[in-house]
Amino acid sequence: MRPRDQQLRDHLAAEYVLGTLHGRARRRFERWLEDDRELDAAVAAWAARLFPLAQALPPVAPSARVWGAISTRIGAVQTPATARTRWWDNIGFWRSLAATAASLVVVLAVLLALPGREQGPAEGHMVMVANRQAEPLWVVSASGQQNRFKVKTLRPAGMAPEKVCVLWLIWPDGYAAPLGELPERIGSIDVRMPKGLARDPMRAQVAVSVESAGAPVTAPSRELVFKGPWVSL
Amino acid sequence: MSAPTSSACASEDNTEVARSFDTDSSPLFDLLARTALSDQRAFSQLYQLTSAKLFAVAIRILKHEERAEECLQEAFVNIWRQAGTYNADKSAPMTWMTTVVRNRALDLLRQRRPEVQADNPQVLENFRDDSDRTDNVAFADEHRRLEDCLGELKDAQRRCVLLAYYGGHTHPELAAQLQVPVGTVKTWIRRGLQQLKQCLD
Repeated sequence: MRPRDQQLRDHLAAEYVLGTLHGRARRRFERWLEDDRELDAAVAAWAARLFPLAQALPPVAPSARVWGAISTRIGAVQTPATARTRWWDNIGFWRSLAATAASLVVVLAVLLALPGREQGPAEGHMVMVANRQAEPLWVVSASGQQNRFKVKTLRPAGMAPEKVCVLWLIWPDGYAAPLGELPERIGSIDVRMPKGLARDPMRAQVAVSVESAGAPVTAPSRELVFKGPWVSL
Repeated sequence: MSAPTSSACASEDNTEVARSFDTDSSPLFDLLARTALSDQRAFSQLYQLTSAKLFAVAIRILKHEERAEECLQEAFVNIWRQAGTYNADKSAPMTWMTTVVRNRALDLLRQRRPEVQADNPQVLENFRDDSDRTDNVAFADEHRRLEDCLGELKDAQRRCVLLAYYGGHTHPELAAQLQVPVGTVKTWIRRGLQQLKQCLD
């Protein structure tokens, strides 16, 4: 039961901002705030009153790694327009799948063990697919052989049994070619472009969609959960 | 996206700019608005300008560099995601961001710190805290009023308010530290806050 008494409400707002409202009482108060604009305004007023305390602290520069981690976590796919919002809001379970920022690529180069001796136009290109916690799930790398790619599964994505992730190449003109299912099991597999397809894979973006297991895959049937360009190492 | 400049030179720059923003927060309004539109450059600038001030808040509460870094990281990811919900009519940008950081810090603190039993002297010993120290804080000119109003509080009331705000302590923890009953702490805080409000408004 939320209080009606003005003085009590204001006092709870003050203790919420101060931090002394804790545990279940804090969580309950936060629920009230969601639809109680007056209470929300009281909290804002108290935050403003006490803000000078925070502002009075001498600044401390955080280590550069903090920004590295932040930019990795927010560096989702840079598809145009409102793709970011749709990505987070509409995908349900696949909210957890996100793309990487280039800054992680350097770290991951260590994990890759790219074949050094093989030659080929595509060698040294990769794409990493990570979940929302910036945990890498798969690394797709060019094998050095044209039209063949290596998929390294770093951790299971935890798909529902009836769902699979499918890897695609999508060219700027919208043409999409499936490369195959992305495995759940940790390890490496090889995938290849469909035979007879005369397109340069390096001009395509790498994408991942969620499909029903066992269904024939000819075009991405759902919204893509990942799309990103090759990154040159 | 472009990374901030190296931390060594960023720290000095940040300090200067963050101070000047105490009085003029319009660049932060603009950067937050652009962050809401997923402008990563704006977000990067926002980080450069505010992170040192906000990190100080996290460090003060968590008293642990790594946890404070975790806190700052999560808070900024939240700022990135929630920039669209920021309401300029309700609070200044830095006030809003400070709230995001403090709430995250308090959550992290309490995940790791069990509730203190006021009657356990050993636990009590671990909760000595000097968070109410104000010798290293410097109020900006426009914030002197809060400093003055704090000065008008009784010592015990002021200590409680500062320990709670800076140290993230709950009532039982404060009671343990100050060796008084929880009820007394609650009264001190309630009266202290009431008096602050009267003095400030």
